[in-house]
Amino acid sequence: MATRARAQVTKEPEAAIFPDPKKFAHGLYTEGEVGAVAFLGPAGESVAPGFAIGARVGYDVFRFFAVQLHGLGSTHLTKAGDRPEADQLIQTYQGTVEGKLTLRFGQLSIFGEGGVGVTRLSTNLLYTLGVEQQYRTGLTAGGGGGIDYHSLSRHFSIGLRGELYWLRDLRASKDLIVTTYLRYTF
Amino acid sequence: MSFERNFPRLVMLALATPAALACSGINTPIYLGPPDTQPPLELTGMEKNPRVTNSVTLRYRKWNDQEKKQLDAQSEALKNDSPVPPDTRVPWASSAKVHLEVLFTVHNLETDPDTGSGTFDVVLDGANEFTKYDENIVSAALGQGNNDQPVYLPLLSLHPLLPMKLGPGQSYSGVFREDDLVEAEKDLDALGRFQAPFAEVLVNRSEIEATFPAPNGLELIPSNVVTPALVEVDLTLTADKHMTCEWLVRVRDDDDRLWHTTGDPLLNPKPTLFEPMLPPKP
Repeated sequence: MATRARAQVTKEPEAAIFPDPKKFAHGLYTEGEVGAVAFLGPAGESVAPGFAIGARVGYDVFRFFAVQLHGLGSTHLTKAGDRPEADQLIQTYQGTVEGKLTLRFGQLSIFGEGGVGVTRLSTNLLYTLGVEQQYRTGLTAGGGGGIDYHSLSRHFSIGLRGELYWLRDLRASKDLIVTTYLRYTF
Repeated sequence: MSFERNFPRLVMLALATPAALACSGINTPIYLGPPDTQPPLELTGMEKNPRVTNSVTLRYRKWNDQEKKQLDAQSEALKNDSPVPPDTRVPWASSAKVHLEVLFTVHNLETDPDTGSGTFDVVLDGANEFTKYDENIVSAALGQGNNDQPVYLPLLSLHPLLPMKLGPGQSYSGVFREDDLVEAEKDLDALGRFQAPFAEVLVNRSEIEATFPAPNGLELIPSNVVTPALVEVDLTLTADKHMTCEWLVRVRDDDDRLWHTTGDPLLNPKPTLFEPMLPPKP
């Protein structure tokens, strides 16, 4: 005589996490960003805030730690009162090597990052205004943080970041970078 | 999805953009002011002849052997192209490759609202590799033998915009644009190498010839001549009140001719001072 099979649930099933952050791509990634750069300190008295565009390429060594290369260009107008240097265009180019720490909460994550590199100015205007030393390329170091939102796609996320960099050769001025970005992880 | 397939390419484009921007920095301008060793452009309004001049000398590097060969070959080609070979020396710093602009600000330092208004003018002279133009020398030549007030004919002026009146405490910012400087460079070359009639050359704009054929003093200049850029810019302030003028030359150097590496030899041009040929007095 056949008997009915019975199954007994001995463990409560785990709740499905959706989306599962483990399924987000990680490894090599690139970012494109747009935003603004404003100078603080001596350079801030001579250079107005300006539009910025930049890019990053990086690699997630672990899910919480990455290394990245960052390039950013921004364009500004000089502020020099009624001196002939006033209202001239000047561009800044910054290149840095950075480390990045990430703390993830589902689709959202917050991160902090920092690095060192070089800043180059397109003209010697800040030298004629007495802000810059003789050379147009100088050391820069700093960092910041931001917030990232991962889409339901494995590859895409968007975010907002702010950074403060110290510019040694601009009489220790600083520049504040605020950008929004789109990230693609391969 | 095609967007996802193309995304790596878009990313590469995004990466290339800042790099391209950075490379464009190679031809961004350099700003040069008169050195501290020169007197500032300042007049008190009490001078008998209220004129003051100072200069910016543009330091160019000297050519290397390869570049010298290219210059000579270019010069030889120009000579062969011309039916009557004129002076076809090719300048090291040419007007087409070195773009100059002069930015200036005049300040009226008077404070009295009743008597402080004054009139000022700013004019420009200069030198290229071959010729130097100094309006004081020209004025002296023109005025020889008479006691009239001296007449000054600058290489470049902003007339009729200037001279103008400036109130006490006011400032005026002006520009000799790149196209103005090109005109001055053409005129100086015409005067120096080709003995063009100087009053006609200085008074007329050369581009007028293109739209309204009329003598402008440049008729004898062969079209294939390479116009030299200025190697020296002299700015003169005239004012009848206490005024100062700050100024800068903005240089865009297409072919990296400006001197900026300590080891490079400096170009040391020796331009001939221009003196007008005047008809003999009756």
